[in-house]
Amino acid sequence: MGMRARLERIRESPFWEVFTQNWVTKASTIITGIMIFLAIFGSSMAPHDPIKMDLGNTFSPSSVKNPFGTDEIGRCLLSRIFAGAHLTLGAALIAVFIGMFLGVPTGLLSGYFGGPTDTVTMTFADMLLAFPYFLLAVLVVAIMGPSLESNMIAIGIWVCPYYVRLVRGATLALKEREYVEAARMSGENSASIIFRYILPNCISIVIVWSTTYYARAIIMAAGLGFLGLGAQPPTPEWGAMTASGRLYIFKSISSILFPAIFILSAALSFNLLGDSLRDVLDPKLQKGERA
Amino acid sequence: MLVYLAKRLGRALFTLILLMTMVFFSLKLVPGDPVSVALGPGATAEVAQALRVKYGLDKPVLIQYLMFWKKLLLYGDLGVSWSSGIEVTRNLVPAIKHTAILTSSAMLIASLIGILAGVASAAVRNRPEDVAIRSSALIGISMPVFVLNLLGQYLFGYKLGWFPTSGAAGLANLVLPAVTLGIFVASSMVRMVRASMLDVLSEEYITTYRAEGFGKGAIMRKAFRNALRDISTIVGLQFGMLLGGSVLTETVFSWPGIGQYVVQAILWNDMPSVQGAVLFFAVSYMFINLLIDLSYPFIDPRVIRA
Repeated sequence: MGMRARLERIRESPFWEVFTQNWVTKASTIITGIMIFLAIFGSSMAPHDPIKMDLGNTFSPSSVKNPFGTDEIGRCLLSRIFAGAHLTLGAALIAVFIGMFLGVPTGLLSGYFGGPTDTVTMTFADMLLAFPYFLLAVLVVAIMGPSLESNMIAIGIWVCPYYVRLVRGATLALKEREYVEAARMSGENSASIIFRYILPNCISIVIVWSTTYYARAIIMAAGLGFLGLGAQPPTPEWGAMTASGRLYIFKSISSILFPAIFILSAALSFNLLGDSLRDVLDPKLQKGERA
Repeated sequence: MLVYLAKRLGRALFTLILLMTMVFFSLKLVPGDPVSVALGPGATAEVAQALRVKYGLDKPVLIQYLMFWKKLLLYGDLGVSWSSGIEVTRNLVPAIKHTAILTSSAMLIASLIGILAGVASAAVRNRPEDVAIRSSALIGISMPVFVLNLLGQYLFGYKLGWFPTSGAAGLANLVLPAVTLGIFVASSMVRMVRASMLDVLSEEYITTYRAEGFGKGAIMRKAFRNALRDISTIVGLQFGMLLGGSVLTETVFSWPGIGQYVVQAILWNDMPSVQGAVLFFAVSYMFINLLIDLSYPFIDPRVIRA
């Protein structure tokens, strides 16, 4: 199949329609695209050095030279936001992947084999879920020390039980399907059943929820950065930027406002995308209303 | 009923013990010697050893673990803070008081907004009002709580000057942190309350009521009564979000609660204090959810029969 035909097929499939079904989704797809673009190319697009001070030019308002103005030591806010995009967005992405790689196999095994494996796994998962939101991440940072890397692991551990529960539930339902039964009857072993019949059917729901988890991970990464438990200054991580702007909130709001707008737009666009994907791909919610 | 109660209580206690065990041993994994950190580089070996004995750090980890439970259960003692040298409980208790004030007022605001807006949104489903509520809720869950805090602080504290921007001197200081934290929690509550109301509204008995000619108000009241169990679960779940959010809110408004306390403890590598704070968070979260579990039979008698 040629590239063009392949693209035609993607465009015709309902999956692609998700991204263009209405103007809200279209807008969020575009913002998501911008965010991904910023995360990849942001550092090289920054017009100024993101950590170069200019003490003669502090708290300057928006101008042609510094479109978002400058912060308390004269650093260009636009450059800092561009250069920091890959930190906040990348940390959240790696965190979600950590959670996925730990959680999905655990959920598959737990749901497929059941029994004591399942009991132990779910006890652990429930215990992690019993931890108040955000505090598990804070505790992991307490153990590993404040850094961007520890934030990734912390958020990954936080998101892991959600994947376990999600995939376990899906596996329990898929296990009873006729085609799985048929595969078992024809003598396929467990590994082959899991990889060929159950995992492929879990993928869509994992993608859908990953979008939502990613939005939460962005907020959480920014929160840890804000508390000073993440990337350390002068690193232009968006949460850490907000934290240093906070000290001068009454002098200039822009060093809080601009990073905040970028955190919000990133999280909002992924949340919207997650909602739209869920409408189309999650059969359970498809017939009902979305939350 | 008694069996139900015992089962729930037992499970909560088991989870709590498991959790504290995990926290204890994982905090032991923290690299670096806490004594040499506390004393600085100039300390002699004797002084360091004396401090180690004082904190019980010279004993094997397993003994330390048993001592931790013994001291906690017999004397309510959480050890001595490594950074200040004062008993953990002495600083923890006032912090807990402040956090309790903040979170309970925020919870009140959140439940009020969350339940009202959620039910209203379900009642006017897919009309412009519903779209407006849902969009605000979506923006609310996408906005980090500290951004909401900072915006409130800037707008109502600084620009308009209606409320103090930091500290915990009086009731006026409570307004901004409680309201902003409450709105943050409310926005995720709205979505869930709306979903559970819609679940109930799609039941067949509601259709029957409609066919019998009940008015919209009467039907919504019946639906609400039936969704109440789910809604109380939702409120309980949000309590975790509230505790987590309070860490950030307290930092923004310099509210001397446990959130600020735990962040300071982490930055100072002060493990007994971290342990104490975690214990508080876990106990209070479980306690609230236990209370909600226990209220089910009263809200919904079908629970006991199940």
